[in-house]
Order: sequence, then structure tokens, then C-alpha cells
Amino acid sequence: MLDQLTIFVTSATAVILEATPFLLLGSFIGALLEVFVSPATMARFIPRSLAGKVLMGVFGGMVLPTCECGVVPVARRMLLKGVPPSTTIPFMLAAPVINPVVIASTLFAFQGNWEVAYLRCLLVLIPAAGLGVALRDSSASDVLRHVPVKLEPFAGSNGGTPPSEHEGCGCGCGHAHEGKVKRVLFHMVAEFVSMARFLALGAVVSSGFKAFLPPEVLHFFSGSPFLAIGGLMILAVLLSICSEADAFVASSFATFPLMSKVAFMSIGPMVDLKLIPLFLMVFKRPVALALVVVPVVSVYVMAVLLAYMGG
Amino acid sequence: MANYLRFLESCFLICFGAFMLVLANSSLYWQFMNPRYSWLTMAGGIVLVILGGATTYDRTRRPRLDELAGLGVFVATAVSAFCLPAPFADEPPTTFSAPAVQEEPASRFVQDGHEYVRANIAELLNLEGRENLQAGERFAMQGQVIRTPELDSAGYIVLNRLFVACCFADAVNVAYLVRVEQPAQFRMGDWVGVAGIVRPLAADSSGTSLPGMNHQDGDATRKGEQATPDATQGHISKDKAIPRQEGKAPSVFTVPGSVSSIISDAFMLEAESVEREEPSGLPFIFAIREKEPYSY
Repeated sequence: MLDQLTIFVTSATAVILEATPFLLLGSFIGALLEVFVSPATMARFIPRSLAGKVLMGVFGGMVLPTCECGVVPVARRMLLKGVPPSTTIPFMLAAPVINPVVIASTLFAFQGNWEVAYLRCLLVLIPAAGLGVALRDSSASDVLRHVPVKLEPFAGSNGGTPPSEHEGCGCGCGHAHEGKVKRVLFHMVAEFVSMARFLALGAVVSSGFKAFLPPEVLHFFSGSPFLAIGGLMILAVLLSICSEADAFVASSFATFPLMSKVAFMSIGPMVDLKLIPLFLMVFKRPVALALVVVPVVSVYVMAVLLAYMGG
Repeated sequence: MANYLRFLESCFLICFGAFMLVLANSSLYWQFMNPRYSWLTMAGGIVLVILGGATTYDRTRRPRLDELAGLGVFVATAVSAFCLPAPFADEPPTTFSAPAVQEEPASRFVQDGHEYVRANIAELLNLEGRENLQAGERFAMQGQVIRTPELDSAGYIVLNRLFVACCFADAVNVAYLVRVEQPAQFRMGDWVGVAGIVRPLAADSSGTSLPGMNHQDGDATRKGEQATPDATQGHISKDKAIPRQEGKAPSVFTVPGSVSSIISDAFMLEAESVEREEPSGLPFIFAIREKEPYSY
């Protein structure tokens, strides 16, 4: 029992230690977007067509690799800066997987098997793109729980003064800042501390499963493709392993069929115990529900179909 | 109240950051994270200390109690991790000395007229996965002993270690079957160094040969070489191999800290020497090299 307790606290501490730099990076990028990038600047880089927007989101991780721990604050800031949900949501779901680092680690863990890497990307790309298409007519206020009110200068006031010199800066934090460096730091603190509580919660719960889940439970699922795929998907959500390392864990499930391992690697970076509370905090309830249900159902269905097709 | 909460938040962030800074430079970092990420932990610690200081100047910030609770949970788990005895090392948990620099042992050594290549268990499994492992090659590995009554009666022990890619939460157990003369001489959990020769496990009950075996005469061969005429140089006969338990999961090889294990089902190591010793380097495996010098 003492060993299990030690494993539990060691694992929880390790998860938080590993995720913190990426959460800080995500908060930093979000703060930079907030302070230095205007919605007009953002709009110049967004394609006009729906296909362009979705593809930009899905493959954005190849340019800006992001761990799932830090992607939610970045996505929130992108939405607040006017990046449409049809780009941001696919980016949020796909960037933790469809990026050079994770593709390389997947290839290494599976001895250079490109089929595994390709299938993993495919199982992530489809739900990410699907949600992007579904949200094509949405705006930030349709998906986010809290959208700050834009502050406009009163008539007769010092007209023409930039918004940053008004009483509020429009970021929704409710207070004024001086200097861009200070604003970046203060936004970082607010974002990081807000997200860190969910990181801590997810780390504790996932480590609990790691430490106290009897290994024999896994073997129950290895009997059939349906059970194997579903079982490893549940495990991926419960263990909440970083997308850079989950390929090594997946490769260790020797008695499980290949598609179940691919499903494990695909669902974890999109839905896990750290992300679910973040989704609920940041997005409106229907959107948060869709962010969980759509990837789970689509990954499961595709994995089962591919398994029966000989994948 | 808001000032007090802001002060508390600042303290939590600074303590959090300081903890990461000290840990990244201590001899205990490996128990949580792969040492190659210590620079990342250090950078995160520095940023947190800066943020902790900066937040004291944000006089309009009003931290929420649940946000502070999240930071508090981390402090509590980190303190617990250091107070509880570590099952993976004999070091006292409160040592914050800088990590000792250890020289890597030589890649090859000669013992009893045979040359062995030092490698770790994960590297051997990786070689096998890439079809670069041949029966007849000699390797030296280290790890902890696992014994079960079934393994004892078949004349095997399992050598195992935890492989950590990023952090302890993703630890995977890697193991290798080692054929020894007297399994009973080892205790469960003993750390041993094994030098031996790679042998294929016996063919399965269908008579199908395993990788590395010559299909004609069943003796292990290198690719393109003639089969060795002496059968004792070849594979272990079926009745001496671990009996395959059809339909049963390999539950004997789960270890604390890992939800699963990787073990070769094609090869095993026939030990030519086994010595109890202290771990050379860190007990966990943090790197898999694809060619010599292996990380052992």
C-alpha cells in the first residue's frame, strides 16, 4: 500500500512538473496574442474559404507544435482575437498530435512504422476537421463561456486614444495595466493560475488510476477488437499521458491489436482528465460536450472499421 | 482579504518555481522526469518565480480560492513525494545534492574469453523490433530480478527495468527472460548484471520457427550463414522453454509503477554470468540508442 501511495504522489508530481512548462508556454503565447496582436492583424492570415480555415487549423501544429496542456489557453486567446472557431477548434484538437515532435516519437516507438503514424494522424484529423466544419458559422461568443465586452470611447472623451490607455484593456480581466511587459506578465499569471487548478486535478486523478488500477483489468479488454479499442481509449483518457510519450506506452500493450493502440494514441491528446475540466471552464456546455463526444465516437468508429478492414 | 490572497498566490508561485529549480539541479530529478528535460524544468521554475514576484504588483488581481487550492495541491503532492520512502532507490528522500557525474562504462568488455556488448533491456527489444538482433550475439544487461514459481521450475528469471520517455507517469516496464542455472539463488528485486548469449525461444506448438532461426534444421543462424550442426548451439528445446499459456495474459510481468510490460516473445538471454551488484547509472532507462555505444 505504501508503495502504491508513493507511486501515486510521484506520478502526480511528475505530471505537474512535465506539464507546467508547456502550460506556461501556452499562457505566454496567449498573453502575447492578447497584448501585441490585433484582431485586424490576425484576420490577414486567416483564409477566406472554409476548407482553408479548417486545413490551417488542422495542420497549424506543424508550424506551432503545442502540447495538449498548453493548447487551451492559446485557443482561447485566438478566439478572442477573432480567429474563427472553424480554425481554432481544429487547431486545438489536432496540434498536440499532428506536429513533427509527436510524429517522430510515434515512429520511434513503433520502429519506423509509418502506417501507425499515418493512422494516428488520420484518426485525429477527421474529428478535428469535422468540428471545424460544424462550427463554420460560429463566432467566439457562440463557443466561449466568457467573452469580454469591447470598450468603446465615450463621445466627447479624448477621442482617438488607443484602447490600451482606457480604464480597461478589453481582455476581460477587469483591470487596467500599464506597459506591455507588465500586461504580458499579468495576463500570464491569470491564465496560468486559472488553468493550473485543472492540471492539478487531472494529474491527481490520472495518477490515482495509474497507481491503484489492478493490471488484470486491462487483460479483460484484450479479448476482442471492440473491447480492446474501447478499453484502451478509456485508459488513455484516465491516464492522461502526454502526447509525446503515449506512443511508448501504447507500444507496450503487446497483447492488444494495432488499431486499439492507435485509438489509444489518438484519443488521449484530444480528450483526457486534464482537458475535460478545461473545456468545461472555457467553452459553453454544448461545445464542451461536443469536444468530448465527437472525438470519442469518431475515433472508436473509425478504429473499429479499420480493424475489420485489416488495419 | 484580496491582498492576503494575492500574497498567498505569490508565495505559492515562488515556492512552486523554487522547488522546480532546486529539483532540476538535484540528484533526485530522475525519480520524476527524464533527466534530459531538466533544462525545461529549470526554465519553468525561473518563469514561475518571476511570475510570483510580478503578481504582487498587480494590485487589482483577485485570486480565487479554487485557483489557490490547485497550487496548494501541487505543493502537497510534491512534499508527499519527498516524505514517503522511494521504492525505486535506497537514497534518503530528502537529499538535494547535485547529481554526481558518472562515467559511462566501456561499450564492450571481455570475460572468460568472450566479448560482450553492454546494452539496456529496451535497446535489446528495439534491436529485435528492427530485426537487427541475431541469436548467438553476446550482450550484458542489468536490471531487477522477477521470480515466479513457473519461472523457477522452467529455469528462468525475468530481468526488468522501467523505461521513462518523458516523466514517471508514462513509465513502461521492459523485461527480458534470462535462463539461469539456479533461479532460487536470487531474491525478488535483486539488482543483477547479466552477461549471456542471445538464444531464440523454442518454436511454438505449431512447429513454426521463430525469427532468427533457420527453417531447415531449426538451429539459430545469422542471416546468410550456414546452420550450426550442433543442436546444443541452437535454440532451446520446447520442453525447457517457458510453457506458453494459451489465452492467458502475461500477468506475471507487471511491476509497480507501470500499467504494462514489454517482453520479447522471440528471444531470451542464456546467462553465462550473473552477479549481484549496485546499479551502474540510474535504475530507470531514459534513452534508447540504436547503435553502439548503447546506454546500458
